[in-house]
Amino acid sequence: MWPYLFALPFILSYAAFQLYPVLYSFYLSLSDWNGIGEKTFVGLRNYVDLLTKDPLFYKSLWNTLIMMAMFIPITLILGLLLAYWTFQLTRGRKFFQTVNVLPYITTPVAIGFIFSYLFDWQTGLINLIFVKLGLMQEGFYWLQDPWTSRAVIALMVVWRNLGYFMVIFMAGMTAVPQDVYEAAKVDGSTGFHTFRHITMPLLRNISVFLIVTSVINGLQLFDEPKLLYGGWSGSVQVGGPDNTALTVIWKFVDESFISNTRFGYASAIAYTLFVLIVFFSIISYRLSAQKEDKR
Amino acid sequence: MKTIGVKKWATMLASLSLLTVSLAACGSNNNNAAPSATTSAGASPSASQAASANPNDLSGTVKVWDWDETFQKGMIPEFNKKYPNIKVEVTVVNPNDYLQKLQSGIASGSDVPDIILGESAYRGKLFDLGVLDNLEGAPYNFDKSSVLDYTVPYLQNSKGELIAIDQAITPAGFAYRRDLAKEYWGTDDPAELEKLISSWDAFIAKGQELKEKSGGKVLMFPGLGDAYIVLRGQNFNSYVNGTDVDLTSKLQKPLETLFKMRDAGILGKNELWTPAWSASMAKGQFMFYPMGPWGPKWHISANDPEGSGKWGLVKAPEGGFTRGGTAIGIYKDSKVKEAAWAFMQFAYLSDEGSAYNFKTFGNMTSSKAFYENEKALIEAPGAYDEFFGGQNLAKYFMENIVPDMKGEAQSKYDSVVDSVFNALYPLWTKDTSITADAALQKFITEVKNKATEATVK
Repeated sequence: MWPYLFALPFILSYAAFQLYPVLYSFYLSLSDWNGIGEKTFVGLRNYVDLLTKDPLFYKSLWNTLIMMAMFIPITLILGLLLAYWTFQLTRGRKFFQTVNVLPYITTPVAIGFIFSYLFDWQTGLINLIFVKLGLMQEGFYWLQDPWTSRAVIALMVVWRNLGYFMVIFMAGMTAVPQDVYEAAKVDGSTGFHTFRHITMPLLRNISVFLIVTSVINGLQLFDEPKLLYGGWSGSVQVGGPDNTALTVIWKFVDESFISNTRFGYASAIAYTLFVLIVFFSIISYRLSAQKEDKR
Repeated sequence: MKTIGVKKWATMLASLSLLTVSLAACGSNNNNAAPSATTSAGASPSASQAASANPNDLSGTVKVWDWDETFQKGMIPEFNKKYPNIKVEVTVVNPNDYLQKLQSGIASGSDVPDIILGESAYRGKLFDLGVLDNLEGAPYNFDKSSVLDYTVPYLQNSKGELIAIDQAITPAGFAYRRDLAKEYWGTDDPAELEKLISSWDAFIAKGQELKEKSGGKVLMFPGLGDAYIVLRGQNFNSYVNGTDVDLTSKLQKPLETLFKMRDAGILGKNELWTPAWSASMAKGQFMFYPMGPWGPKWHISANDPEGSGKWGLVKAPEGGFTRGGTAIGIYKDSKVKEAAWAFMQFAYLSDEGSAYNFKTFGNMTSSKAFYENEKALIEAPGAYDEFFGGQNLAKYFMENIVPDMKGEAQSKYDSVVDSVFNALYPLWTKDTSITADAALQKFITEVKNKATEATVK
């Protein structure tokens, strides 16, 4: 009886704040509701509409996957290199660690403001520099081109998460026993060879963790695109140019609060995304942890 | 044995205290909700007692969500001079989050204001939710013929019930730069300018002339968004009937004129509300900015604080339009309806409240009586007249712009149409090979994508 009693506080608060909302939103996804009027039970109609009649949903999913394909590999590779480099430093290590983690703890609104100002068409710093250097005749409209808009969002994510990846990798490196390195040194391994054959394999578990969590977080991408397109000001352009920056969560928010007030339909989006997240995390786990199984 | 017993007791005590803490945490939500419910319930009997004329008899606490804290801070003390027993509580809510916050409040049954504001961006959606009381019914018995006729459609839901009053009227014309008009067109007199830009064709021709004379330094509007606000606003026809959305009749002509302007090169490349757009007002790169009576305070003087005397107001080619505007209604389950209505009437309709509102903020009431009873006030210099080169703004709005205005029915699809426009016009700015026709087709497709249940043409 004691274990149950001790677990009870957690179970109760979990049930109230996690389990109940989760179950309730599933029930919502089966109804038609604007948040205020009568709820009507519509069965699976929301799901059927979403999967058969909503081209924007597929587009938003596609956009999200493209942006993930841009930022996950870059953050992983850069994070690992940066961690390796910082780890070797004898002086100023703390300083570099702190500097690199700063973006991660910066307020997202500030990041949105900084980037939309940097990449503004008419007054952005990037365009000003390019034009001054004579690399361009006229500024480029970064935020209204399908590919550069996604690239800028990916850049925001990389910039923000790089420090976090670095810290996690460094934690992993600290855990690698020094005698392995010494043995490698005795055997004549140096520099990149050591990195490739000692550091990287021993960090596999860390990498798997980072890949799987960034797939989960990546599918929920929302802050960066939303803030880039005026989340900090009065004007809100939902989805970026021709919806090329619309992510699944942004679509979800738009359906429930911005363009429409279809809470039921939005819950169906949330549940579909949940299934997709489970699916993609299993795939990413299988792919990244594969080698370990073979060995 | 003894020690085990003590341990057992200790664990039991610990777990019990943990349990109570967690239960208390769960319970506190209910506890929070309860007192507020009782206070408002307690207030209601005293509020409903008083349909009588004596303002002292009305009491209660009225909750308002507003983004304009300055307005409420000024207006509430004025109101309390007449109604000392009504307490008005203001919560500052950003207009961008307003509807979302309201929906969550109503859905969860927690915190809902008695007085609800509907900004033009989400007004149609708010009206469609069915949360506002019909003001023509008891206990309000509002007479819609007491407000300017053109405003009535902006206050009605799709069933034709009048469910809100106007915070202030928002007929709009153009704010223009007097210095630039004088330099390039030889006059900064509004009456002369009206003649120069009497039609959109004349406007475009003048724009090309301006561009040539200034060597491309000065253009007519900062961007496509500004021009569209005017063109769309001038078409007052209703385009929604049930779930039939007729975009072609609504937008074809505005888009054609818009693209004509873009191709003539008289529009800038700024997006609405961006830092560059705001900064352009002080820089003198553009001649015109669409502006309603709230514009001098919120737009022009806010973005060009040094610009006093440099600005003027002129009517748009081919007629007036509305810009922005906030509808104010009462929550249908409010417990203090009379008190809330007393505040709304005082602040937005009564002669006293309107006079204070006009003198302090430049806001113009929708009440017809005010313009009859307070003629002297309108004639006297207003809060921002000096900023606009001594032009009497209120008089110009009332005499030159309001008379030929019509109202436009509100619809829940308005916000979808707006958000589609916001997503598309930067592309039209960037890619000048897109034609008006292609733009309209794309517009229709996008609205269809977002309003799946509607028939869009």
